[in-house]
Amino acid sequence: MTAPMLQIEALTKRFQTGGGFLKRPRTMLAVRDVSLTIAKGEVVGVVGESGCGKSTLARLVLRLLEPTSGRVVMDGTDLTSLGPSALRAARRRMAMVFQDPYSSLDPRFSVADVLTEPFTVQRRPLPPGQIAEMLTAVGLPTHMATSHPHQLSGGQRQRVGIARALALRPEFVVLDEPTASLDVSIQAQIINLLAGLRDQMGLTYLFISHDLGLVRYFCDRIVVMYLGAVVEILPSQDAHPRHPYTRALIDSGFAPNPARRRAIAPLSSEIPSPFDLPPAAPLPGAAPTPQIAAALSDPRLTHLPTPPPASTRFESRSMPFHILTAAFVHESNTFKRGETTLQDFRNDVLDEGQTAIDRFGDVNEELAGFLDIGSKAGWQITHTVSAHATPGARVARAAFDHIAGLICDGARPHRATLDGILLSLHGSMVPTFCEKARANSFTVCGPLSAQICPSPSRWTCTPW
Amino acid sequence: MTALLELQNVSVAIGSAQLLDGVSLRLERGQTLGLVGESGSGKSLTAMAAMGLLPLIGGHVSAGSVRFDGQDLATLTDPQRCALRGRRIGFVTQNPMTALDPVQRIGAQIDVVSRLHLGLTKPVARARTLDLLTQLRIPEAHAVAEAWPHQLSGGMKQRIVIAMALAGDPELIFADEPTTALDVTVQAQIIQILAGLVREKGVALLLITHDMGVVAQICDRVAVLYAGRLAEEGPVAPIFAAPQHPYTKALITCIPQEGMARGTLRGILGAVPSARQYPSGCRFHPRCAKATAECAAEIPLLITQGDGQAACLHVPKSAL
Repeated sequence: MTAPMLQIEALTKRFQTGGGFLKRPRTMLAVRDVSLTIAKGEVVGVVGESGCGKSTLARLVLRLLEPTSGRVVMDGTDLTSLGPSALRAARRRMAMVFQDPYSSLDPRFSVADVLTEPFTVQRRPLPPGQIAEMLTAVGLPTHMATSHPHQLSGGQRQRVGIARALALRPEFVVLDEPTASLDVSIQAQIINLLAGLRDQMGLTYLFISHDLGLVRYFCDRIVVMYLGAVVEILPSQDAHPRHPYTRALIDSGFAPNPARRRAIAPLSSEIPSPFDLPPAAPLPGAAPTPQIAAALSDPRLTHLPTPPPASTRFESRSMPFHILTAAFVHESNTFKRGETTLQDFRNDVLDEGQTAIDRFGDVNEELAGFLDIGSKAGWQITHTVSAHATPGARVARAAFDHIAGLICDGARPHRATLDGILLSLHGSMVPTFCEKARANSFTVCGPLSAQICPSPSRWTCTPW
Repeated sequence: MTALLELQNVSVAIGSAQLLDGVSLRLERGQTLGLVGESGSGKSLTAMAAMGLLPLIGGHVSAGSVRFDGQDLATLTDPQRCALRGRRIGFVTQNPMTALDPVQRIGAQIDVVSRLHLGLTKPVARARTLDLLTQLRIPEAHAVAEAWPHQLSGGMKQRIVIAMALAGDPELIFADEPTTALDVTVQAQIIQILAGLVREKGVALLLITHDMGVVAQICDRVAVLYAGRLAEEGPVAPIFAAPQHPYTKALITCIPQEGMARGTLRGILGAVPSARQYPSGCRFHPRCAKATAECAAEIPLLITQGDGQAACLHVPKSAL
């Protein structure tokens, strides 16, 4: 790896809403404790859903927002400690391309005005022929210098936005969803343009997007964010994602191939609001085992204890989950445990499963339907458990038996057998280890950290 | 059998500009038709023509006919068309952020559709609304019905817009880029909901999109529009396996796919021409890698064979 271009150290941003009469102020952790090093010439992608903090991160890196804590170091200079004039000088070396080319260009400015502004702001003379040169570099005809934004198409506007970002020959460019509001055909043009410019000008990019497919195509390294925190860093384009959230993101994309049509992962609930995330609470009425208690400590990005082959090395951070336990309720228990995979099981006893559903009328159907469990005959939600899970951490079967034990000892009078545990990431089902329900340990799981809900109807989102 | 929706050689003009040129489509009950093309291809215009909404933007059907369930829309009076929309034809708009009235509670906005079109009383309409919200897997339907639009996320709002489209129990749903403004994870949910409606209720779905990935995922047939003309139309599987029109092929290959090496992504050069500057001959020829002098001179006709059709001079007549 070459010298780092940019080092982000434990960056945190907390927003506070104003309180009022009878209204408490609320805080939101938009970015929590993000550390990242970007090498010269590297293209680092940041993906996540709306509200995961990726755009806030981009703004913090350029210091368009002041961080609550943490540092951003560019080539040895701490950007977060610079005064106004030093910051302005440092900003010559960095630039940003904005998401919406319809609102990021002043409608009253001609293209030439747009491209001149960076020089005015930096109080530098505009080199002769610079505007024509920049327009050519981004593939626009030079006569467009006199056009106004309303005369341009979305793709052309975004090219102007890129030309503006590159006007001062920066070294580091933040691309904040530069193609989100464009057609896919235009998106491909813009991505190719950005790739070409990087090679020509030796740029370093921080590329922000919610489209993992695009990021995997374009970026060297991929940072996955969820609720303000980094949950996984994929070290290369073809690295195998390990975190269930990353996998859920991949599964959400559609390949343009009808032969690869697939059942879409069952509906997930909404991302919890990043406001007022509650702290992890101990289990009420059940003391966690020492090993669980130990793992309850503050989650950190960790390297896998046993690194897989180089291409699949990854960093992961433990994160909140809801573990949803779904039991196949089947009184006669004729299947041979340990020999039957979950899939066989589902196929073989569908009819009997159907009757089992009828027998347990008290199952919260609303929740079952919401999580699409109801359609899986025979499976019922018995309990949901909030937990932290560090992908890669090995958790003993005992931890699950612990949950199972709580379920079986619970108020439910029926003889329920826990035959599979479905892991739910805020509702997105990641049934990764269903077929390993008989395994002695699970790779993707964490200890219990929040509460066991006695009844699914009291299922609540306790994300942190 | 009559198709639920049939467009025969529909041309649309606004003023002197001919925006849509002889587009023919068929949509059966229980079928999903994808209408694809870049912005400015005429996708939304086709949908507006099919719903008789063109007067809203000052346009009119200048040739051809639109038939809904065998009835020619042009022969209907305005009140008759109004009775059709919302009742038998539902509409899901592109931008859920602007589709909802910000000063009306969610429940009231959905209630009004079934009260107006199905003649339900207030309490019955509300019960139906709650039922719809539950079907769309909205948690705590009661609470959501009492919420204001600004309290909901984009994905939730889009589900509300779908609920409004469903409230009149329609046979046909138009979905105009229903997922363009949404995150990929939410897009997957919304697409699943729409696919479920087709499967379970047997409604016909006309899905307008520019994303061939979405088309591959849920459509039965696909119609590719370019600059107001039909470029290619047919069942999804053969079109994706062997697209006949260069434009269709280009739309498919501009999506980054797993395992694609960097630098191999191909965009489509240039942009869709505006309606006043349509090129001669094949309208795609200025952007087409295969274009020849012939393409600029001759308007390609749709060549039909088997179940599909394509309008390109380079399509060997025997291939289709």
